Amino acid sequence: MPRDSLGDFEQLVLLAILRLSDEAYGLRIQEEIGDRAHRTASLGMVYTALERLEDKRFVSSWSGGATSERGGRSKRFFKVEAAGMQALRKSLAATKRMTAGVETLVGGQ
Amino acid sequence: MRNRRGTRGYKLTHLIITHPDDDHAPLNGQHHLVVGDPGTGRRPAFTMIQFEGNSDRILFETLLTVPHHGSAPALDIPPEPPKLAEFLMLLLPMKYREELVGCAEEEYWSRSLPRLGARRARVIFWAQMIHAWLIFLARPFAGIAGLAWVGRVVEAILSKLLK
Repeated sequence: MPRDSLGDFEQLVLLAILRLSDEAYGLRIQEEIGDRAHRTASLGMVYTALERLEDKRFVSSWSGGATSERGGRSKRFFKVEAAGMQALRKSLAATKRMTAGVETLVGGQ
Repeated sequence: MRNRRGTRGYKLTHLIITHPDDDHAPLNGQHHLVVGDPGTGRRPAFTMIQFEGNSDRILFETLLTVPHHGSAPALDIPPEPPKLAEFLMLLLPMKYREELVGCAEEEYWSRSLPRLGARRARVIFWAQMIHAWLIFLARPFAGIAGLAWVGRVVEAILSKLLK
């Protein structure tokens, strides 16, 4: 896969980060994908995708405060960067173009 | 209360719920916890109930089932997430493994344990660890059908448990 393209799951992760804005960390991203996309994702899947997206510079991250509920471990929050937004737009536009004319077949709109 | 990080180091031997009408009970209507050996006066300490997360909330709800002015051995403290699974997760050669374990622990206390009980919550914690390792191991061998099949089985189990 080319470095600037997005996989199916990476697209969901980026959309989840955008939806969650300041609250985008591993567990919340996993929940958002489950609730909205009805897709079960393990935490390992989410963090692997996040690390890959960060390597591509599509997202950036920073460390939050530690809480006792997390065994004293901190949260890592994620934000979509300009390159990530561009890749997401490209990917969604490609899906839209491919769907045009076959909406009735694929059950869209 | 549970001697987790950042808490004071009393040894919790008995749990006593004080009555709001008693003179040693708090004025603001909140319950207090007596920590120490009842009757002996050794290291008695009143401490405010502070929720530091769902684990403490669950503990407090357990306390409320103790009869008025009675005491009970502290046996009903919810079990911790499996330490071995946590340790194995920390061995993952991933940049954010600490955060991954943090999220697994948060999921355990805030979602799995209250909804599904300790046994299934621990199974989910183990499944999270196994799946994280499978994803890591499958990376260089993405084309091997057997490994992908094992991954799908764990994913299906996880999906069933989380429903």
